Amino acid sequence: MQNERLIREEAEKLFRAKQRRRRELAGLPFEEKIRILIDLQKMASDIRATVGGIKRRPWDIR
Amino acid sequence: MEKTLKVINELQRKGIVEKYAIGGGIAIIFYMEPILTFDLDVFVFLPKTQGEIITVSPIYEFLQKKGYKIHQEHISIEGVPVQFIPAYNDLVEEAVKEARETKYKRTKTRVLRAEHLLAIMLQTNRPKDRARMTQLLEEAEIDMDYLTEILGRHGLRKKWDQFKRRFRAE
Repeated sequence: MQNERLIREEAEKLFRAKQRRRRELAGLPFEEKIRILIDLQKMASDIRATVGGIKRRPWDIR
Repeated sequence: MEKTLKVINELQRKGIVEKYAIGGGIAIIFYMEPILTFDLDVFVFLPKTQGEIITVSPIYEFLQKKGYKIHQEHISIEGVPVQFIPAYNDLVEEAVKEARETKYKRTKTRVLRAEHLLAIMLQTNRPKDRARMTQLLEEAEIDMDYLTEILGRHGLRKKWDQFKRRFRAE
C-alpha cells in the first residue's frame, strides 16, 4: 500500500517536471524552436525509414 | 527558413499576394514547445482581378520561374516545403488580417495569433487539432476575452463548450 503511494508520488513528480520542461520549451526563441523542429524531423525520418513508412525529408535550410 | 521567408515577402512586395500569415504547425510552435511538422502553411490574400477567378497559380508560376520545384501539394522554397492556402472563409480572413507582426532572425514576417489558431482548429476539428488545442491552451498565454469574441463572431461558442466539456473537464 505504502509502495503504491510512493510510486504514485514519484510519477506525479515526473509529470510535473515534464510539464515544467514543456513550458520552458514553449518560452524559447522561435529560431531555437525551429532548430529543435529540424532535429525532430530527422528523428522522425530515421524512425520512418526503419519501419518502412512514407519518409518525409527534414528541412534543408543551411 | 529566413531565406524562405524572404522569398514569401518578395511575393507580397511584387503584389502576387496581398497579405500573408504563417499558420498550421509552425505558427503553433511560435506559441508552444516544438511539435513535429514538415510543412510551412502560409495563408494568403490573393489580389482580386476583375472578371478573373482567384487562383494560387500566379504564386506557383512566379516561384517556378525562380527555379523552385513543386512536389505534390507544396513547393519547396530554400529547403522548406511551403503550402499556400487562400484565406478560405471569414474566420481565416480575419486571422490573416489580425496576424501578429514578428521577425525571424532579421526578416519580418506575420504569424497567426494563438487565439485565431485555436478557433481555426476548433472549426476544422480533426483529432490532431483537438490534441494541439489542448496543448496550446496549457502552454501558451491566451487572451480569453479576445478568444471569446472570435468564437462569438464566427458561431463557434457551442463547439467550444463541447470541446471544453470533453477535453478539459479537469
